[in-house]
Amino acid sequence: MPTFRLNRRAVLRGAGSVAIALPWLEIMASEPARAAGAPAKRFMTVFTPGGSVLENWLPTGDENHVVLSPILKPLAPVMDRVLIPTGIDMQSADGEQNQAGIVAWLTGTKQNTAAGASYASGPSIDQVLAPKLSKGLKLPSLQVAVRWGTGKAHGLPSPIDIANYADTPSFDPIAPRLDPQDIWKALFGTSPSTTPDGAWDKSILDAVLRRYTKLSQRVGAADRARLEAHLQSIRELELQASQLPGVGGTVCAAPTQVDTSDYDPASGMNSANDGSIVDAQSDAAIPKVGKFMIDMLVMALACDLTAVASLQWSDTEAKHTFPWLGLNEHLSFYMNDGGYHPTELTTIFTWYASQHAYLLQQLGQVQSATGSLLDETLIFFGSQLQNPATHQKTNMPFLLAGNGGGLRTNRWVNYEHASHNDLLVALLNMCGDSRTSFGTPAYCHGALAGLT
Amino acid sequence: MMIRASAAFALSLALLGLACGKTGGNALRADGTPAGMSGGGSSSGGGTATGGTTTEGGGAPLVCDDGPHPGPSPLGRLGNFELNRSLEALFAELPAEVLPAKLAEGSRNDDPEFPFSSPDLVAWHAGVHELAQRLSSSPPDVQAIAGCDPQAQDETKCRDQFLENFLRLAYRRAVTDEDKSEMTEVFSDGQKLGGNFESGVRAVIEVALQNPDFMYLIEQGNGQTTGDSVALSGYESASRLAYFLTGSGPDAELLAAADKGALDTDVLEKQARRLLGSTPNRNVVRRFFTRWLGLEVLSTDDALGYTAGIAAAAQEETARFVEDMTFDGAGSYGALLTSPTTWVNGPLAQFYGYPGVEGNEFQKIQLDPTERAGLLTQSAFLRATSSGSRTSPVHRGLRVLGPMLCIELPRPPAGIDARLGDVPPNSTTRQGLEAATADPACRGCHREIDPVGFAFEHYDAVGVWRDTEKGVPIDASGEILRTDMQGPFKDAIELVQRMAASNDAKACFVSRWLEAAYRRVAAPEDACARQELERAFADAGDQVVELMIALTKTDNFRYRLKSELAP
Repeated sequence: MPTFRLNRRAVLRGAGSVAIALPWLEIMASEPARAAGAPAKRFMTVFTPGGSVLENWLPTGDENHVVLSPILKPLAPVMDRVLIPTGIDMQSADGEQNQAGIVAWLTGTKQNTAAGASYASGPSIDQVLAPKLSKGLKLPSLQVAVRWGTGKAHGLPSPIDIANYADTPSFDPIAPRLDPQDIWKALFGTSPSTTPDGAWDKSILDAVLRRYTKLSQRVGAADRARLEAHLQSIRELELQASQLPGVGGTVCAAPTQVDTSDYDPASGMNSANDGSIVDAQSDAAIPKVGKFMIDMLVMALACDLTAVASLQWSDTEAKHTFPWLGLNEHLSFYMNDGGYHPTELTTIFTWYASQHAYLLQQLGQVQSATGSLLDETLIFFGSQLQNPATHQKTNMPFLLAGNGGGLRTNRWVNYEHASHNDLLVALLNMCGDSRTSFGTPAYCHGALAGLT
Repeated sequence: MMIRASAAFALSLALLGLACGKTGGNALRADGTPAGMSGGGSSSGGGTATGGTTTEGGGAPLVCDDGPHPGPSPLGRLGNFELNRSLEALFAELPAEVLPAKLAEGSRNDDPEFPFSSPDLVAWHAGVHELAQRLSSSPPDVQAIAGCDPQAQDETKCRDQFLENFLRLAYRRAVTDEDKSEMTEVFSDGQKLGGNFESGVRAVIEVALQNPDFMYLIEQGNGQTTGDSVALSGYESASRLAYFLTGSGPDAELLAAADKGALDTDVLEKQARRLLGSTPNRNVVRRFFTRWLGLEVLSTDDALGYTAGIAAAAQEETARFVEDMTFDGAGSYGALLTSPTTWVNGPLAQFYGYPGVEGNEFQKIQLDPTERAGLLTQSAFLRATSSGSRTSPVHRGLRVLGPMLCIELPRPPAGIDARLGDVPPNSTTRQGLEAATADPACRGCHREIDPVGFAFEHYDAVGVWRDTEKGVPIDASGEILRTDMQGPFKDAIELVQRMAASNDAKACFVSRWLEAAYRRVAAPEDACARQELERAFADAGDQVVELMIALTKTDNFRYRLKSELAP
């Protein structure tokens, strides 16, 4: 297994860094050591398409005695690290039914349909937090997606599939990384045959950086903003080039590289609008690729490569099949193209919940100075809709997890028509950003109470 | 903008409530200026033009002859299509295998207003690295680029010659002392790390192709100001011209013209005619139409016989038709919309049911003028505006109203479930749609959209002619509620013929070309340019090539706003 060294911010306990010796249940048994009100050190978002089948999603019981619904049942082993907030309305989602949903989810703004503009009318919270949380780290943030850009997006950024928007005046959409092998290489290793060697690449990128810097000082304000955005992207490239081997610090293990040669990360490029083109081989590989992506994200956080990460399970259409669940039509088919299929949808949404449980377990297994990574991280799970039958945006199927920012977990908080914008403000606050409103002002009434 | 065909239904939310259910009102164009539907917006729309003065939508008089009037020119990136082509042009004399894999083209990847995506930058970075590495490991290639042999002559001289030759083409301008000093340093760093002359060349290529001077159209002007405008340098005009007409940077002849200083309209016209006379550059016209009509991706459907092969042939049909019609045929807007001819090969002809064409070669054929007329009756357009196995009169109507008539309609209001689902078993598409949109909340817009789409009901979801649907004779009649095309029509043939004669449709066509040429959406400041272009287009008998030439002579190709430069 390749290993590499990094400057570690949170020192991992134990030789070899990743404490996998403790069985999961033992870690869970001890109450996490939380400093009340200490901001989350890391922030993560997980997007799943299509909302949920609400009657199979909503829990029963009461706040502290949560009875999990069929869809949320897989979360039982990690429920003590989960808070289920129900009754939150995503009022800012204004625009095309699905597109406006994914745009609003992290931005709290309406879909922008003006030509030449971003799809969003504001930045996403992860991008607002990235400079602060990831200060000094290799990547400000990391976005990955599994089987993305299906259907009408044709593998390209589109309001159908973008959740993350830059905190710049133009709120540029941020396309996720798709190729698990490229991601592994960028984060955890370099393969000498295909990637530029470090010193050479640094020299090239330094020269390019100098030129952008020089030129951006000579042009008008609007042109400068564009060149500076480009400059930032080059800086990221350079950080990648200079990553390995780092100096000093704790030894940190890369996740085992998984063979994904049966999975085409660019499969979306070949998609048909209506999902009629099926890439059965890539679809069958989704569980394996998803798990590999989660392992990489967890280690990216654990190794302080970044503190802000996003995972997307497909896009809002998810026009891929689910052969491992015995479902050979795509999600939009079950949502509406083929009529509303609540049984099949419940199967799919339950599977997403089980993957989320896996992510939380993995985060919980990485020990940190104050407990586990899960103690220091705040994770926001959501979708673009409440449910496929109505496309409504009220009572959204959201989950919060991790104890970062003092989130009080193992609870179900049933709000009555609380504003999603207020939730975003609360999440920002829990990550150390003190603003009191975010996104469309009309839906801001102050941070959502009752989370911490 | 470039043509946002895939986003043909995108529109400004600011228009909500303004656009629907009104005829002859103050509808807005996509660019926010009053549309020339019932006065205003363009000279053709009834604005009064006298001595270079026209009234814009009944507002203040517009003065156009008091000096240059460039609209905004935001810093534009090269689109992926342009990056790919520029690379091909730079290394045209080397074997094609040295070039890296092309960046994905189409959609926002080719939109100059849209920033590079992070994956594209990573791919470009890796691609030019590979390219430079391959070149530098082949001394003959290095000599070909440098124009000299470092073994045979003084190495420093050869380096300087290489920098001069290569940077001039990559940066599309004269090489400055600053360029030389920056790149001499890059060269020597590369030489140090790699150990030889070739490594220096490699470093320069890698850096230059990632520098803003290559990846963006940097426009600083030549310092000569007139009012609010600064004249562009000859090189800056040359790049505008070349990317518009060829998708690539200026060639040697155009750069030589720019060496003499700012380009005047005579030089621009001469160069534009020369570039348009070159066959490879015709693909820029092909691209315009593909993007304008949203034909970049056609969904296949094996059940309907619409295989990947047929879909590709259908795209080729439209591309051949457009190129041939523009450059070798009648050349006019009207002919593109109404000509009862097309280009097909054997398999595509068989698919349509056109007799007498065999083999894989495309050939021009005559069609039944009562069934087919021009671009909009070809499979590419008809398939791109269908939904699975059924036609979509809504998409077809919107595609005609938005891209072609510059009428943008709002999305369905919030809270409305706009999914149509399947057509009920006992009704035709038309009946199904009429029933589904009977709600007054829908009628406001659908009464305007759907009848335009119904015109195309004789063509099924893959563009094959049909007389009946589910045994019911097709009703292709409809009505258009706005523009000078207003009034009922009996079918698509009558609709496109009316469009071919419509001043409003032509004004919209001019705007779309303006957007392609100016690399952004049309702006209110373009009023003078549009007026000039509409006149030139009309005077030239609606010839598309003449419109393209006229565009290169407008102020945006020679000036930039002073306010856009650093103070």
